[in-house]
Amino acid sequence: METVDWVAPARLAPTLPWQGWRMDARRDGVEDMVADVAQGLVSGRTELLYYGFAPGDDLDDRADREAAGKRDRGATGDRDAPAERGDGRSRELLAVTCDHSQREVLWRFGRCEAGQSGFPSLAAHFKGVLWTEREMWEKTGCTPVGHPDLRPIMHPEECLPDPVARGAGTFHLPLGPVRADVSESGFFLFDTLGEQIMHMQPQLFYKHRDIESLARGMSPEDALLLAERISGTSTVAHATAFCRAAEQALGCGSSREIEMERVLFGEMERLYNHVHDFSQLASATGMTVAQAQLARAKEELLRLNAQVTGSRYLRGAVALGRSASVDWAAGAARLAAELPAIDRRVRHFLELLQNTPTFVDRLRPTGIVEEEWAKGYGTVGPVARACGLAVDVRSDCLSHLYESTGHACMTAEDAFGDALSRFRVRVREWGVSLDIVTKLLPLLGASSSVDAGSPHAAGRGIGVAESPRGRVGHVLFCDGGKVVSWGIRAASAWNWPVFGLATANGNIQTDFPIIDASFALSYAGLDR
Amino acid sequence: MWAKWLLAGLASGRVTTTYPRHRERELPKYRVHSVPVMNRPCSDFGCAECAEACPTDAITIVQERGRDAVRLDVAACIACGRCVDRCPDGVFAWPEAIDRAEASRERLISTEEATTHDG
Repeated sequence: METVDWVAPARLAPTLPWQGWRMDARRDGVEDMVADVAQGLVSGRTELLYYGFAPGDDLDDRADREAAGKRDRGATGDRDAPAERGDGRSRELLAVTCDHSQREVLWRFGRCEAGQSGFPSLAAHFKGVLWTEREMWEKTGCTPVGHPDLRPIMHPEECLPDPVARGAGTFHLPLGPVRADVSESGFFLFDTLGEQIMHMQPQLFYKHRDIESLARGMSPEDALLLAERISGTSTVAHATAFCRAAEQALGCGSSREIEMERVLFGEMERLYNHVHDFSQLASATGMTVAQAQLARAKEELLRLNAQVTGSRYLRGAVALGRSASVDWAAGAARLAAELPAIDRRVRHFLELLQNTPTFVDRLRPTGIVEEEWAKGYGTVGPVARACGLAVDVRSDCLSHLYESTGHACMTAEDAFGDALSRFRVRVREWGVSLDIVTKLLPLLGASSSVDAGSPHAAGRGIGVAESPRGRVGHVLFCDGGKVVSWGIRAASAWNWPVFGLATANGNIQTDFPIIDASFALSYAGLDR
Repeated sequence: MWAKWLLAGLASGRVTTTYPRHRERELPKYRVHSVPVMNRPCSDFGCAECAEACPTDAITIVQERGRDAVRLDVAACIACGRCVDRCPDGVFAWPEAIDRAEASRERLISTEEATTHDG
């Protein structure tokens, strides 16, 4: 494939979700680029939407790369480092940042010199990409110079974390990777002193599917099926972010009717996820009646999803460049008829939970995320909003899509950053989501589709959506109507690195299920 | 004690189903989709719309006993529904119940002849 200059302005078409925003691109030397991005992030002026390698660097054959990775680890027998693979290819770093005050999205490309086997670490300044750079290092062998915690992350079968706390009375408790319930595979290493958790290290990537590589050469329609399957409980958010990125890359855009349906499906997804999280928290605190009743409400919402869209988890609801195949006359009537009863029951049990001292006492002050950590790690979703940070792409970037319904970013009133604050943020968001759905229902019904755009266009696009767990970002590069490169940033990828800190500081072993339930992290979203 | 249990049992009637004589057709009721089934023979193998539409190559047109046949590998199916939507013959349909269990990988692969009945 001939080399495409992705920085050219013609490669980016303005689309409806980014209405009123300026999109720009810049290419610098990698040192300047990392320093600039770090400065913007540390000062809080900009927000990082995506960070990784730009296409053209990592496009070698997947099987070759995996074989090379195995050979390297096997040959050196070194469990701490993949061997340097100075292959002479020129690499380019990519950071997509957004500046809310200027309403600008900036694509920063940072060119590494040919043969350069390292790049200056962004994680040295901004902790949110600690895990991302470990992954980039392990995939390509390109070293983030100055990274404070460079360890393998992607091959848990070969390399697990080592205990940190040592000395008399310390105990190391491994948990997982096989978990109870339908939880995905994850390993947790607790360093404890009596009941006290002194340190906790999560290890994921047990079920890494390399979805981004699988999509290369696919049509965006086929890649959308993969996007829906990144994380089952954020199907709509990932599909929406992917479609927004693809529509920008292909130059076709979307319409207000299409976006309105995506907003509705996104809120339906939030409703069943939040009520599931309430149920899990009730379970973790031994509130079995509330747990059962809230789980029942979740099941009712899933059945409602199926009756409206044909899929309990809303698969197939979001389509590329066209409206959903939904009979809105029947679907809207069913939603309008059934949601109020579910809402009444959920609110009743939430009220009871909030007035139950044994429930509230267990949640406060459990699993505290300090505001400083939340900012430093770039956390998103209810975890960030529980610390008082107004981080929500619905109001930050996509506010014009919520003009007809209104949307208020719900931060915690007490902003304590603990499990109770996260619970209360979700309680407030339950009301907001229901309000948006109710207001949208009479507006739906008009089917819409947009021109598919030029099938041979080369372009790039960024799509964002607010999943129940926070901001989801997709970056897509297309050429000749096919996917050239795809980058996925799930909400949980921002929140996982702070989970260990929240678990360790001042908590005891029996707090873990509560912290786990209150974070509601997705394993598949990060593993992808 | 025994008499009490017996009377309670008689009073509650039959609560189990008579599967497989009677299959619970729950899926259409809740409009839940599972992997499609082939419920009628294909009349035009030259069309191959289903095989082209299938994103995971779960559907292929093969030679079976000297003639063309549609082959469906449900282990590779992700229930996207493209075959149900696009087949002009209506060969594929959403199933009415989830009751398929096989002991071997091979038995998840079916051809048109083997599945002319539902499921």
